[in-house]
Amino acid sequence: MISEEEFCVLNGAHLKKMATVEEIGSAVGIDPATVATVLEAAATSGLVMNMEGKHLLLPEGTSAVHDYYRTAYEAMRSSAPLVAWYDRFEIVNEQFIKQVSDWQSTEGDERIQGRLIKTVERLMKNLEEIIPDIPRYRNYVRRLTDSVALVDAGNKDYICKPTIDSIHNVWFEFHEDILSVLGRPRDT
Amino acid sequence: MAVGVMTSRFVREITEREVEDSCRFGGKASGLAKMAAAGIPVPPAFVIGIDGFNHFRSNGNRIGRELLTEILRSLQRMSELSGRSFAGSDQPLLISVRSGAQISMPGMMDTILNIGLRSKSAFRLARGMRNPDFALDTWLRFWRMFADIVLSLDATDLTESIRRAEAHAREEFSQQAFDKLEHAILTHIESNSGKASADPYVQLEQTIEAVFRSWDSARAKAYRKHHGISDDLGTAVTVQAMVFGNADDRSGSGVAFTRNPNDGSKALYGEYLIGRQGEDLVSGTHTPIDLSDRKALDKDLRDVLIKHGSTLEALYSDAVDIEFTVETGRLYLLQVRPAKRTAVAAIKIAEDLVAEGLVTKKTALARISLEQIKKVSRPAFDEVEFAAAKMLTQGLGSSPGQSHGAAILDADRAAELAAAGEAVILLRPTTSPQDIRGMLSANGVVTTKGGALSHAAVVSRALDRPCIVGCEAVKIDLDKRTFFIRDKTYKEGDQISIDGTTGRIFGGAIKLQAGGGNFSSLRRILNWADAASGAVVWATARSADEVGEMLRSDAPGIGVVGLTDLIIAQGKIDRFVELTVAMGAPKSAAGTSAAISGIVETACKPVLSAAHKAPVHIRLPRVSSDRARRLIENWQELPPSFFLPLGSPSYLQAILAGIAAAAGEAGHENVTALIGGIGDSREFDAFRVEIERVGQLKAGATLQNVVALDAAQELSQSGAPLWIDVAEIVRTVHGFPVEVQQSLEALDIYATSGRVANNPFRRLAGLLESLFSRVLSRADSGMIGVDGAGCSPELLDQLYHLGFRRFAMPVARRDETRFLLGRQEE
Repeated sequence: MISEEEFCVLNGAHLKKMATVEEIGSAVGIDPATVATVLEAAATSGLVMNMEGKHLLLPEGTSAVHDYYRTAYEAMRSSAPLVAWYDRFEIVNEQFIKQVSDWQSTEGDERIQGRLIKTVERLMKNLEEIIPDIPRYRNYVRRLTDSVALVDAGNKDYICKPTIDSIHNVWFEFHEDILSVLGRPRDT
Repeated sequence: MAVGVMTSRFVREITEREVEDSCRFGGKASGLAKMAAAGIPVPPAFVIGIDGFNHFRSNGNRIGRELLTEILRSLQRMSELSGRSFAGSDQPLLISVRSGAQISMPGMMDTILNIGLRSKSAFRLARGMRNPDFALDTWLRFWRMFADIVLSLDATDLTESIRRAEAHAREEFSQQAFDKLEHAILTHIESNSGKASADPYVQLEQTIEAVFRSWDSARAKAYRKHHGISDDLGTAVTVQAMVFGNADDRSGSGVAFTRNPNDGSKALYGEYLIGRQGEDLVSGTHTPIDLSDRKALDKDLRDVLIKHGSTLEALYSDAVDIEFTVETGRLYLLQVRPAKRTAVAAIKIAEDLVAEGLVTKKTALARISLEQIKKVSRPAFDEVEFAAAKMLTQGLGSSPGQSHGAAILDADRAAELAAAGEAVILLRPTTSPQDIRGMLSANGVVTTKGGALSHAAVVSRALDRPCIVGCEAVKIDLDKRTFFIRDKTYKEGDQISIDGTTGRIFGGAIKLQAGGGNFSSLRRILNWADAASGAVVWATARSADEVGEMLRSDAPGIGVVGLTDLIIAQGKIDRFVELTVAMGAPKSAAGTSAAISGIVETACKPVLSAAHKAPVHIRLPRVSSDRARRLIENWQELPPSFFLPLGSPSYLQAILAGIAAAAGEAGHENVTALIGGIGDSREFDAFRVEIERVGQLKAGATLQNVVALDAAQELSQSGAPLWIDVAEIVRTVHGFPVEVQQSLEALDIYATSGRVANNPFRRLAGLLESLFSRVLSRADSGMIGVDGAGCSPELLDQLYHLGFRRFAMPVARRDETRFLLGRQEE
């Protein structure tokens, strides 16, 4: 099985699909030099393809990531508190997606934006409860905090623009991540 | 009241004129005061001014006895005015508490509603109402807001933890059950380290303190720091009586728009629900009265709403929406805002407000967003082809717009095909962040699963691309690369057309045309924009249809039209490339020139005929261009001289003869051929000689390199029109390959990461800025234009501010560019 560090890097590439060393590094909170080393090794062993600086998992890389999820989080998959946490997350998640959608259809209504950010703050607060079990989730809190600060500073692209580390993007990556941890399929 | 005014240091009634000063009493109270002064009926309210906030701060973040006494005194007065009593058991007065800084900011506590109930009064209230659940809902809504906002607890947890007690209270409907529910709430809060009291006076004090403290929340502080707002400004707090539309049969709640928010027409619009609260209106569980139906609403109420509406429009200089409640026959306006509106309505309302003298044209333009202009100018299906199109199936339209393309089942393949220039629709079971690349390059997305809130829908809306979700009738076989709709099999790559508004999918590619052409308000607004900017925006049309559309929407000229684009549109590019290569050979076969002229003539004639007398500027093909390099297979085998602008006079003559013949046949006297790639005025002189030789045409140039910019002064002396190919110059000066230019996102990310100051396609580097300025200062600026294809809106804005007043834009971006240049920030 791959090491934890390898997993963190490859999972970053997995969630972002095509990403540079810097993008992965800043997403998973590992310095770019280490990320580059891990990716080079992974490319040599056929887990990753480097397409002009953008890294793409090959089928074997994807299964290595899935295997790691399966093995490392096996015990957690039946942990009642985590499952209960996730059930609560689903409610927050539903709220969040509805708010993003409302925000879009009202062309950025301030009041909806306020509620949306409140929901994000709720997730960040709730994440603190499971960070002791899954420390790497601290990265999501950090990334959400950064994106919220950019939105507050007037950069509305950081609500849901798909090509940057927008709140919606980070949220969605987290959702994919926790589903993989729990071994559940994703709804649409 | 006079006594209160004299003795209060911190608290004011909103009926006092000084409250209009938003510096001392915040935006919310100031708005209420202005409304009250204009004779608008608002529920009784008072405000704790900024002085009160400062007192709180200097008092060790406590309200303190003096301020509290003033608050209670005002509360007492409010009770008397409303005939109810705060925290009383019978006829309780409920209040809302809102923060009110001069500027609203993130991280600030906003609103708490329904303070004033406890189990006893909640139960009595419930008993007196025809909908007993309402009192309970009102009370619990308070607790959830209070827990969430004042105590920072998760409201969902609270709801969960009191579920049984709540159900019990609803079923039993007794004082005892209500008491138990209150106990459950307090227990939950206390066990989560919150401080809770059932006493509304304590709750009010806690709430006001929380508002004041939220001024110093981390987010509010960061926001102020970023925007240079002083930390000492402070916030006011507005306390207002709640009114209830469900009090009796002479009560009700509604929302009124002074103008129709869908089409902008000036007529009362909205809904009114008799005997209900505003929440019932939102939930859609009851059928309201339609305010636009003259007969449905009580005439007196209708008249008074219209009267207040026009007062408020004058106050706001804008269309407004109004939340109102009638409590036992008495009308209150609760909230007034500039009305939400569709893009079409925004444009119509802006036009009308100018006609009514409420705003200037400048303000009217500032009220419309670039997004709204884009929305109404969005391409739409050709009506004739659309009428004949066959609908395959229908899903849930979740991001508006119409488009067409090859149905591709995989995000990576979609991205590759789109990069090769093909129009693509991404068709997937569902999408995830891993499909982003395909979604970015597709003209639209269709998913077979999912709803309006799915990833595909949210991302498509963010990208402003059409999207249809939940198309369950479509079955996808990813392995065989086929899909089925109603038993018919389709191959990946088959053409489909989609309408993201209606959710309909059609077979084949339905032709698209620029939208907005028939919308007279848009035309007028854009003409105002032209007048404001003093700029002219030519249309880079690619077909006779587009030329017609553009002339109808006031295009001053057709250009810069790429001859190669016209040839591609005719489907003759392969043959043209062959002939071009043949011309480059040391000895070209006889008849090659004539064949080239023939293709060029056929390609140009429809456009020139459609243009009537409007000037047309045609850009000649440049064999050295990136596109030529890709189109010509053995590009590197062509003789080097062939790549020079005037390196092959016979090739040039063949092309010019073709354009001239088309112009002659179309009877068009105002056609200019633009030579590209030159850098020396002697090259241009030689080109003019060639032009004179064919006759019928005029000579112009596109400036595509820095040397040409330097020669602009000399070039312009001939009076010939010059177009600067800005994107090409930015790209070549920075040494980027064309791929970088085509994906601005990559450079955006690069710039955001701080490696370069700006994306140079959004903000010119200093060297280029001074070069462009120099061109304008030396040459006759009336003859120099910007070919804006490939320029971002930010870059166009910068060029405008440098002094350029002539632009050429692709058809799809012309309206937004005219608007952008004419719209000055207020």
